[in-house]
Amino acid sequence: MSLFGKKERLIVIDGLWNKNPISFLVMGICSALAVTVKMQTALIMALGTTFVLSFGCMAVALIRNYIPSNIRIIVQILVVSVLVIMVDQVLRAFFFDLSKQISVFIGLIITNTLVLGRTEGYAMNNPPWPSFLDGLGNALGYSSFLLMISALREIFGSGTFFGFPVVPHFFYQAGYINNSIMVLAPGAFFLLGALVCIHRMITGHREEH
Amino acid sequence: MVNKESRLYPFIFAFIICSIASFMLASLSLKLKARQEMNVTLDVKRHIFDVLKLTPPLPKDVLPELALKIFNEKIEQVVLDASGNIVPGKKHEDIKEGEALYPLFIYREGGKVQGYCFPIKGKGLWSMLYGYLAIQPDGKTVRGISFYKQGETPGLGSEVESLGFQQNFEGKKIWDDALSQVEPVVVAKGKVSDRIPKEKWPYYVDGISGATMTGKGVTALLDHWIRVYEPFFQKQH
Amino acid sequence: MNHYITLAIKTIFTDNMILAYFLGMCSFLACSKQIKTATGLAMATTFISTMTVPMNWLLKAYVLKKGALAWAGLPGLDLSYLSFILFIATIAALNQITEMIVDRFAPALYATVGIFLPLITANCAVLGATFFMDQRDYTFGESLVFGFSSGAGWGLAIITLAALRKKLWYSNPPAPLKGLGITMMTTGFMAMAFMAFAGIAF
Repeated sequence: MSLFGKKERLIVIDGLWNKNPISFLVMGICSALAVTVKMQTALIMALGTTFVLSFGCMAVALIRNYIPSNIRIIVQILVVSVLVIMVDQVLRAFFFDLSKQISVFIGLIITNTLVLGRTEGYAMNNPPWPSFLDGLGNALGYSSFLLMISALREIFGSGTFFGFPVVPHFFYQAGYINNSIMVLAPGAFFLLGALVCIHRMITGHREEH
Repeated sequence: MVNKESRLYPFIFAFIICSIASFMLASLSLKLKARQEMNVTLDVKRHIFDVLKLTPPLPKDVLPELALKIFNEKIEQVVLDASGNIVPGKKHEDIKEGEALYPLFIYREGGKVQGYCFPIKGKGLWSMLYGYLAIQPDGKTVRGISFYKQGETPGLGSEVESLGFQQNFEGKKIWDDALSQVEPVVVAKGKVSDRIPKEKWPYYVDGISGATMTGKGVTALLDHWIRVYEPFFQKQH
Repeated sequence: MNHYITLAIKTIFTDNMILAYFLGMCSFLACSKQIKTATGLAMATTFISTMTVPMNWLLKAYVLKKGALAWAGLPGLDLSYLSFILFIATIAALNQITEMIVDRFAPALYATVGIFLPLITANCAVLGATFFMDQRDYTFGESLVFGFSSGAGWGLAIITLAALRKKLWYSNPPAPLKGLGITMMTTGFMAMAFMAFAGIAF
């Protein structure tokens, strides 16, 4: 069995694009949208979720044959919480300023339904390596939406990208102003709606009422 | 091998997995604790660095240990009484709630005073604003201002935290030389150049559009705190 | 008193858990197709968050905070790194207990509200309320008010959305926008409307 055979690649791509968790499963956007005002926080959040999701899936898959079925959900929550606390502790020690802003939302990865959905729905029935890839693929699909929203919000809302000004000065002189709706919450909702719409236009996924 | 069907099995499993989890977390926390605590102590000091604008400026990714050392070397903490005299032997931590004593930071470079800085706080539209105001050694000019904690409307009032708003304050006057009286900085409603007569410009800063009430709050808290510290600054004229 | 009213209004309207912080999105989208479901879930969430936020406050003040275990003779201990895990444990346990009690003593209530209780453990709005309480250093009284009003605000939003989605039933948006897309846009407009409450204080 190869580590990156066709099947393995398919697992990653499924999560990333074909069955993108946000567009298809409507999962896990809770904890993350609030940090999409700036690229920096969104990136850290995306990395954190990717770490927790991929290693969480792997850890659950490793012990899946030993978990008693009546306490399996709480065991999964425990595994995820441990990983989340690790991320939070490391951020507190090395990225203190960022941690102050996003600590709450990092903590909320615990209740991210995407994470529990993948551990319960996939990792409980599959070996560690495919589970890891499944987690990774889903996390990347999730992160890509997050980063896209964040890029648009920061560029149009604050005129910056990763904190660097990107809107040329003469734009402002010509009367251009930053669109403050992008900084506020409604902007995120509109963008997410639009992105989901575009993704579904391309993939042809439809939802029945 | 433990019997998976046994009633005890879930308990044993839970016990083992909890032990592993707590061991991992406790050791990680122990490893990182010193660094985290340093970050917390430094957090407050960093605002003071920001508002005092050290020359040469502190590198952005300065190590916490070094930053703490620089702080202790260059910035002195003193306590003032209501008439602006330094109370000898008192530290900032000694000030009790409701006492008429006020903390002040003095920034020196090579023994020469470069600036003063004190904490300010007050109500904005619906949250307390916390920040620092720095004054030049002449006791008449604003060196800088920074708000580090607020809960104003995101995108509007919360702009008090933005660099753009705070930079407006630099070089503004808090003392009217002609009348020889204190003249706290006022946040205008809209652009200063449109609304305020030119001779008053040194005392006004541009308001934030859409955040008139927050601006009023800032004006009120500046008025309060500048008057509190004025006796001390008069002695520096 | 005014302070508490201001906090409640702020939490319900302007700092609404879902419309300002996006918390509890999953059940918000999944359970807002019918007003009846939405109402049941809203009530259950309000109840659980009113209970858990003050409970977690006690947990924080007497177990987790640095020096909080002084009453047990361990003043040097700082367990705050365990807070995430214990907060979620409290919520899960309380849910379980409430579910059992309601099922046993009020079967009618169980049928309308109780079935939603398991959903709430994974509701970010409830855990989020606890985290905000922790981060903002609320007092016990404030945490009580905040717990109630964050749940109530979330509930208000989901009931409103359910009502709006019922009307959307008769509309005919472009096919890719159907479902999640148009619901998101609607939520965006709701968020804008709720922002109009900004500025109310007592």
